[in-house]
Amino acid sequence: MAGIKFDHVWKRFGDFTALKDLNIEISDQEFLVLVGPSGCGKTTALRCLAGLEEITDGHIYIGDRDVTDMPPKDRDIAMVFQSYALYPHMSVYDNMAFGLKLRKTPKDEIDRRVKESAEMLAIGHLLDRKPKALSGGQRQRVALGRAIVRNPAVFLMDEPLSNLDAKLRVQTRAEISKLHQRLKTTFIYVTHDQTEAMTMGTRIAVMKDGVLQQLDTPQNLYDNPSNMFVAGFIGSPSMNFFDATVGRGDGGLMVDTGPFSLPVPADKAGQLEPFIGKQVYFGIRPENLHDANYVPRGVEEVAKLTAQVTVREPLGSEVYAFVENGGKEMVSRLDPRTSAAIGKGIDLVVDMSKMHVFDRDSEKAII
Amino acid sequence: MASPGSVRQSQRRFAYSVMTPIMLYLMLFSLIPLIWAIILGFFDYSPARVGGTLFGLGDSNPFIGIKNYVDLFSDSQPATVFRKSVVNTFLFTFLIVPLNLAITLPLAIIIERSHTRVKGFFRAVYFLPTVTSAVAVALIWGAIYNPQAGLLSDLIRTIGLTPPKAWLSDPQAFVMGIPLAMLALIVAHLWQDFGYNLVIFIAALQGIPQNLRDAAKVDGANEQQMFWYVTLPLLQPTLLFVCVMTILSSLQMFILAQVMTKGGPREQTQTILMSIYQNAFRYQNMGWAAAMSFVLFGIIMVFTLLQFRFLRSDWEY
Repeated sequence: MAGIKFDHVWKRFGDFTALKDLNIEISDQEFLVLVGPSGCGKTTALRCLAGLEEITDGHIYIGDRDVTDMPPKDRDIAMVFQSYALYPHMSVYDNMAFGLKLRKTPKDEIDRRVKESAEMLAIGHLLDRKPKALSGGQRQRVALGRAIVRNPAVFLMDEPLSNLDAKLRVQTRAEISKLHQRLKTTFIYVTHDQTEAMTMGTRIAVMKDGVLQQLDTPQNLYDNPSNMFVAGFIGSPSMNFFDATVGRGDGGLMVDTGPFSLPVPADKAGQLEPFIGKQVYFGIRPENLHDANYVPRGVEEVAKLTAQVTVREPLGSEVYAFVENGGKEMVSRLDPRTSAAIGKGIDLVVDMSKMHVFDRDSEKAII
Repeated sequence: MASPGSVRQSQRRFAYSVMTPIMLYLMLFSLIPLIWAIILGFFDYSPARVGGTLFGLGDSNPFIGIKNYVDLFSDSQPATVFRKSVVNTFLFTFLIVPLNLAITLPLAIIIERSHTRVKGFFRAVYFLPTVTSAVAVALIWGAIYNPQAGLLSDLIRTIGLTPPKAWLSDPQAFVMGIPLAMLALIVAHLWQDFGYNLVIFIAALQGIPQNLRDAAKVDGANEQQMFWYVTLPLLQPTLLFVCVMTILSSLQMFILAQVMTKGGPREQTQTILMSIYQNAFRYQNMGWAAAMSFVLFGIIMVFTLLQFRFLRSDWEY
């Protein structure tokens, strides 16, 4: 068991810089998720940690050891790959035992550990099979088992669920979380799926273009994104953004998007004072737009808005309504009882206590 | 809209039209000669004799049953030469296959790891002899092995050693019990042939998924363990193909021996195919040559089946 530290890590592939001054400290037994769009550097960071890529500059520590120049076999890590990377010519048992055999672990001990891990993952009956004879879910479990038997200090997982169907993905997601609680080991998990990131990580590192954007708990990331990228990336459907100007109205500050103006709650006005007359980005999450007929209790700082419904997506427990006001499009997450109908108008209530405002130039969060 | 039945019919028609030329080609140049050779094996047939009305069979080219096959085991001089050619061909094949693999596989690994541009260059250079005419290769190596003015003898003399008095024609010259002329042929054949296997091995190595190598590295494998436990087993289908093709080409060794040694000295480099050729076209003993061909066909078949049996893999990646 060990903590991990990326200390000013740079990784360049020729002219392309994949990691730019990456600094992350991960505590022992933490479940850290690296999330971001394709090409953001999350897998590169994981591969650098595994020792599969040499870093261009900086240091990587596992526990107290500087592992920067250490080969993968000496780093005390195990990795689960996106495509499982099971050796096709070996049985499930041999796949799981391979790492232990290379480390000259006694046969009895190998047998005990493989069978114990196989039982834990409910693949005990598959030990004699070759990977070809397994389903995607079973292969994924074998890949996990191969990592578990090694009893490593750190588990690295590179999008291990991306090849599974939606239902199995949800199920396996929970199983990996349980596994983390049971093994009490540091997990680093790479995904591009923000739902996986939110549901599994104790902390999430959001990356873009090789730069760490924000490292925080899932709830803090969601509630207090540090910039527009994080705000837009975390949450599904994405946050609605509008070009806006901060102005002074009758009752206080207003955010003017052009077609509609919304009052800024008094407790947030102070932060926006320096931006009066300036252009900003206004952001509001879909679940903070309510059907005026079904406003949840506790929503007090409200603004009203009338919009035209362009698309309605009923999901059973909620309805996604894509609405439009004066050429500004937005998506709202409404109560399933909503009467929102395509082509009809709808009165919306905006929960302004959950509003976000971002600087126009730096795109950093103001509120 | 066309009905499913008519679509199927038009697809079938297209398939037939595409397959017909190649089927005709195979019939004319493979299947019919094969059947003809099997038939001839049961006749004392010579194209020099007129024979019967049915394709020259019968009368002066009589049916003799399995006598041609029985005669292959007789004490006659041609039978002795044939049996010697079988032994020579086997010796040639059993030396060529491991030597070829021992050169091509490590070389392929080295080239595969090199920079892309270097890779292309070496691949092309090593493949060049493969596309060179075998007769030209035989003439080049014949010159290299020339005992007076040959490159090899000169080289040996330059480093202060005494070269053999003849590389290709001394019946008394042996190295570890193997005729020197045979070894000289093996070297020439290896030089000409290894580029083909090299290219195949490089392609196979490139086909091994990188994540399997990564997984092995994380599992703790060093370079040697990676080769023995991951790379080599994953090359098994390619090894099967390469072994089959190398054995097939070695069992059919002809041009180099014919041009460089003509089977000599004292039939030490006489191969099965040379025996077949000599009996068929020089001695006009086509029936007997056909029986030999069928024996060679049987040998190749047995080798191929054995390899498929023992090198077959029950996995894929």
